[in-house]
Amino acid sequence: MRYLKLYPKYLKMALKTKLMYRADSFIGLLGLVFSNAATFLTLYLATLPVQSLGNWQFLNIMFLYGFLLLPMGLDHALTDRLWNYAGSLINEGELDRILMKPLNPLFQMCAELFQEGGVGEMLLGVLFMCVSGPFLHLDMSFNVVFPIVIGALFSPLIYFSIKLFMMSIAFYNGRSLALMSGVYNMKEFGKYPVSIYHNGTVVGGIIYNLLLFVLPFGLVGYLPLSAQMFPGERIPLLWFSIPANNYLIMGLIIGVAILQTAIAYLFFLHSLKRYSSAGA
Amino acid sequence: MRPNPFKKYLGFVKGSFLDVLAFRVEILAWVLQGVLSVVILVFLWFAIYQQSGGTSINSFTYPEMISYLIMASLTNQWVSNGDTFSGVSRDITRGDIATSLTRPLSYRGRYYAASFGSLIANFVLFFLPLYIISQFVFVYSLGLAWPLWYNVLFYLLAGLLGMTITDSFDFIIAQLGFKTNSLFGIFLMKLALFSFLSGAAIPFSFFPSWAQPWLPYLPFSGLSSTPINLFLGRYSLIEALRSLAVSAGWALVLYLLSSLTNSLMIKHVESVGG
Repeated sequence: MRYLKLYPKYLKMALKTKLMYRADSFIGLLGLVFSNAATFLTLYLATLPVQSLGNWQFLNIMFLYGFLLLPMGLDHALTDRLWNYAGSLINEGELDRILMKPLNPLFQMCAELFQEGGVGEMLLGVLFMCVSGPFLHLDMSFNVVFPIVIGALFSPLIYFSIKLFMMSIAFYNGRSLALMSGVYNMKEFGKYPVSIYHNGTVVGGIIYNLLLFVLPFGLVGYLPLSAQMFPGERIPLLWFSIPANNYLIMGLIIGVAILQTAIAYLFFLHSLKRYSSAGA
Repeated sequence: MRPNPFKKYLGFVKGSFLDVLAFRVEILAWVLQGVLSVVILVFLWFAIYQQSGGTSINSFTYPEMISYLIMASLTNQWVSNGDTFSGVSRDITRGDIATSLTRPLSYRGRYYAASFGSLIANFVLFFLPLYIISQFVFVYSLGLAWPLWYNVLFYLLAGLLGMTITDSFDFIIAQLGFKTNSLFGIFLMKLALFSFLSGAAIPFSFFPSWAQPWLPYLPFSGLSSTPINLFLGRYSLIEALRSLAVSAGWALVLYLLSSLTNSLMIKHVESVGG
């Protein structure tokens, strides 16, 4: 509980350093908005001639994209400092400063920075959902929306745990930015309905299931929304298929998110022991 | 005997060439990332072509589309992979720029030379092997023809011009570091704008009809669209020469502009007493 009291203090500090340069925060906010807008426009131009991918009309895809930006943006806002640690901070001996304090090192590492770009992403996500939502016949009943919201609260952990795991590799060799970026950017796969990978080929089947369980970027958005948009259709999973039930999918998301975070955190603790100071 | 004025820059060409060699594991990870994004595109476009029913969308057949996108990713590998943006912004934020200016050579020229060095290294180490594999895929699996020799020459020339354009842009934009601390945000914006407007993400023929006539005349087209279309032989001779002229014009203008902003920037450094 001490951490719940400390976090607002860290946040205040992080925000103060940001607000020293107001214009800069605004640019940072725009950066991620721009890159998402470009990806989205590309997707728009690509699907324009055919209007849909399988069941998914363009507006369905837009809603999915917006929905995904919420957990992604939240994770960006709160834990993006890990990128700097994977890049150069460990090599520069910054970790010594962290380890001196009687607080959880991971907490300190994440709380140091508030990435305003993540807020921009979340705003863009809400905008996308507000624009496309009214045109879709979304099932808004409690038993559909409630499990989606609860699942979405756990999904930032999926992005976070993958970052944490890849960052921890830097404790071994000082730097893991390229590797981290390579694995993390697999998230791009999840921005399309992952059903396009499930096209009957072996490679497609492997990618599809990898995206649901190993790098579960497809689990976060595609599964819950496809159950909401296309009720009654069975969803293929490994060698079997499951009914489009949002509670079942919520359970899957929570299970995978907690399991992955636990594995990543244990690996973080294990690797931290391997850390030896830069010797300053 | 007059000393060769370019000789002093040769060291920077060599230095950045060796840099790329030294960080090849790191760079290999970036290459793998590029390969993965191609895999996404193959699936995405397969789904789109399957949906359309017809064989050709906006004058691209499925094999042509895949070869276009693979060439876009490969071209990016050697044309837009210089270190100028991060180098210049690092020099500014750390104040190293002051010492750089004491050296008897042009600061702008030095970064161009370094970009040229990494271009050669990236071309030999990453582009060539990946290209050779891809070319076999184009011919034997996608059923496309081998490229014609003059199209390959056009491609190389256009790529070199594209590198000059992107390097000059990077140099100009990185100098915004004097005005803002948020270069990462600017970097993201730049990346998004370039990949979208250069035709690297999607060919120009997919853009709305009002945008199509002027997109080839923007400087961004020189980074992807022009070299790739030349390589794939999608341009007539007249179109080829015209697009090369546009790229050459932009390369010249932007290089001069980057030198000009560089000399203005140096005055700024003096005024803050760096």
